[in-house]
Amino acid sequence: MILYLLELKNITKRFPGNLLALDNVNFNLKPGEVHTLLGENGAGKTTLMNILFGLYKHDKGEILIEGKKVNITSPASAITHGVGMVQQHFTLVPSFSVAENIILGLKKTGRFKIDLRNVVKRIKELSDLYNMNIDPNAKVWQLSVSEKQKVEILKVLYEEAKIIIFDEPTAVLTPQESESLFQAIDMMKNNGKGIIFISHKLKEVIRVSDRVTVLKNGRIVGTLDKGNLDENELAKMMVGRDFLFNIKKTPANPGKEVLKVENLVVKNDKDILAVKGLSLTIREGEILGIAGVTGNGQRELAESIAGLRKVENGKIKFYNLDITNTSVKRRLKLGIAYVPQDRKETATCPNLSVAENLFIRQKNKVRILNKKEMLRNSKKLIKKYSIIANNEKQPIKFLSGGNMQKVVLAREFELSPKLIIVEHPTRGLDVQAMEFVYNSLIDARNNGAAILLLAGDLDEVFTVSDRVAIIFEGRIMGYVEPEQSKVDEVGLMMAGVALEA
Amino acid sequence: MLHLKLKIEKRLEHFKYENFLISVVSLIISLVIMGIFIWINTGNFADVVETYKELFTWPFFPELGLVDTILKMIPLALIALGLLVVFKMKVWNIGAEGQLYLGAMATTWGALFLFKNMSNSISMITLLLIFGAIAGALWALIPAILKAFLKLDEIVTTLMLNYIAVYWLNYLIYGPWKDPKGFNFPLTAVFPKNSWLPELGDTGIHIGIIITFILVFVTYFIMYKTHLGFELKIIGDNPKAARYSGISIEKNLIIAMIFSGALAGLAGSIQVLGVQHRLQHGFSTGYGYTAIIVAWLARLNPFSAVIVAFLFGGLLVGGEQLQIVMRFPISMISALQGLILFSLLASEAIFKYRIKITKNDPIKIGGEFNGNT
Repeated sequence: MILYLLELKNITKRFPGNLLALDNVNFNLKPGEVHTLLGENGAGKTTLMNILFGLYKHDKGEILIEGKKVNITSPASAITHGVGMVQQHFTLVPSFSVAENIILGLKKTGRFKIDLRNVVKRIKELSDLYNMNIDPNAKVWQLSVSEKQKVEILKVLYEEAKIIIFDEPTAVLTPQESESLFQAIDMMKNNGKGIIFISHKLKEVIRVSDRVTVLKNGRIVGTLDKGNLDENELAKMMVGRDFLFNIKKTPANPGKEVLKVENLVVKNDKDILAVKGLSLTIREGEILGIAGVTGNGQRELAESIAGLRKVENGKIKFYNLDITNTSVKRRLKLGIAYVPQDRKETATCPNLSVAENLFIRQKNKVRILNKKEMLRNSKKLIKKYSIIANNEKQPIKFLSGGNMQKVVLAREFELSPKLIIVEHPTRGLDVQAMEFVYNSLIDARNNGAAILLLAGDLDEVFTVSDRVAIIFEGRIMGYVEPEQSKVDEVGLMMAGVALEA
Repeated sequence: MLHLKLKIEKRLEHFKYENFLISVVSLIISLVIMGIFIWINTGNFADVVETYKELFTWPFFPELGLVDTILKMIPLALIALGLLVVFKMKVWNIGAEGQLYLGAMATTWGALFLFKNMSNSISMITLLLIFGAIAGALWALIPAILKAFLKLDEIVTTLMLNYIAVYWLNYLIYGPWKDPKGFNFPLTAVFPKNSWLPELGDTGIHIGIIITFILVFVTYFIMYKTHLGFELKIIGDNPKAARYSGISIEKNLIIAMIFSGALAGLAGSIQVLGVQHRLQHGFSTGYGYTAIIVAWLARLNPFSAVIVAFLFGGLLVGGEQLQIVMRFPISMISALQGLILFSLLASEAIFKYRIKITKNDPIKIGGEFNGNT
């Protein structure tokens, strides 16, 4: 009798730029259980699963399947070891039928001739077994999103996977569809499969899991068993405190009202409402921290204030001036700086030099570019913000994540903004760099800027903010003072529990 | 037992003159391949030597084909200058041929009908050149607007508009604009002398070359010294970052396409006013397409574009000469052009990437290879 279907021992993975993505991670899975990996974006969940599925190679540690050490080098070898993954993004060929998609890439279907009839029969059986109601002969383009996901699941089942990874499967589903997915997962569990479920939605994690392991910054925070699962506890584990910083923070001295958001309604990329009637205000010389579990509308809120996302309803006012749905250019001129969360995708141009990246958001009246001045100023900024680069002409893509972030921060601070929106400013940075970022934010505040800080990390929010607002499902649940004793309240509100006023 | 695994990865370090070297190496490779082809075709190695001797001497010596080469360089360089501005923002205007045709047609309309009685030569020429540039710009504006507001793919629309332009021109020269005294050939009447571009002395080279050189500096200035050029560069590298920086992609797209179309239109205008002095069937030997290769080989640098355009002009003139001397078909020259572009792309891949050999432990897959591997 094997106790563990899967054991991951001391898995360590370092990414280029010396970013420690996984640090001595241990994880195991019993047959017939659902073991959830919970954590913020960037905590290392997906990296860990990609190692198990053969997409990345770990630097240290070992993988044991049914007690035997295995070497998984590719998805194909993962599949032969009985590991299947239902990916977040589907990998189906739209013009092929369900059956054709399922056998795509499999070698068991005969050398020359594909015996599709048996395949169809087997898929029908599996589909009936798990109440999926999928016609194996339907073309994939005719299917809905949730049906496509069922095809992905059938594919994994067809491959006879013993270990099935679900990478944020409910991100694309409605609550009803999610519930039927959970029923299917329960059945798989009862048939002796081991399920690894990845998510950051607390409610559904509690609904589906037998055990939950929380991952933060590449390390295991802890594991809870079914009896002890509690939204508040999980939320705290996800975003909990673990360092102490040397921050020079004086009490805030708030001045005039800078930003006023009234009943804001914004949609996300999937055209679903993400911010649902949110209101807040920030004054000069004040940092408002927003605490919340990722995906509760933070990104959409930040983007709508920065001018990158359309406001469906409500108003955004800047010094009493209505700036709802005005251009980014206008907001830059007014002095609204924005540090987005994805520095590589949005905040920088990878092939442009450090100097050029320091100036992409500069809005001058003069249409002539003064290269000499640009280079001279960049040299100064590189020194001032201690950015480590060969020189100012080096393409920014060769900089480490922390230094790239410093370039972004330098650029935004140099706009001498009146309002700074900062999203996950320290993701992937080391402690020293984090301290630098925090002190820079506080300096900007002391100079009279209003700052909106959106972070997944309670620690960050508590360290820097003057006031903390808790966001849940696109609304502000309440405000607290950033004091250690309030962490429990925050945890509850992050989980969606409203507090009595 | 160790398994060796080949891995292809991007080289991080780059050496000086790398781009120049890539271009030279790819040119040599394509000439070698073409040489082998000629050798097989004629069965005589001396023919290969003779071909290349002709190809490299004739177009570049004053008493021989140099003037022809320069005359071909002018439209190629002008179009390429416009193209590199749009290519910089990764918009693929392959409709320069059509924009060139529109420029030529508008100029012809002006020269033969609208301003045919103008007495001042300078103002007539200026007017006709502007006319051509506007027509080219408007033709390029169509796909620009379709892309900016309807997200239609510009590769398809610009290419389709080329055919419309070609057939429109054919209609005009076979129909309403056909020269009544032209023995039924598909060409218009000769333009009034007042509209002909003056020559530089008696060199046989018209003043289009001066316009070209001025525009090299203009393009250089726009691309490297203005915010417009900087914005195009940002859009080309990361459109998301451009949006985040408050740069209007649509506005820049339209400006860049207008510039590109105007230069192609101007090239068409200069071609009819400076060389043929009339509009005729096949007045362009695919300059609009060849200029794409020119812009690309020049790596979007305006100064290199002139040099590459000169070399390509030479290749075209040399090709014509080879038809006469070596009796090669014209398709041979097209094949050589294609080979150059192809080997350029291939050597870029070879230079920019390297093959790394990594050692791996043997991979066991489900115990299938437990035997004597």
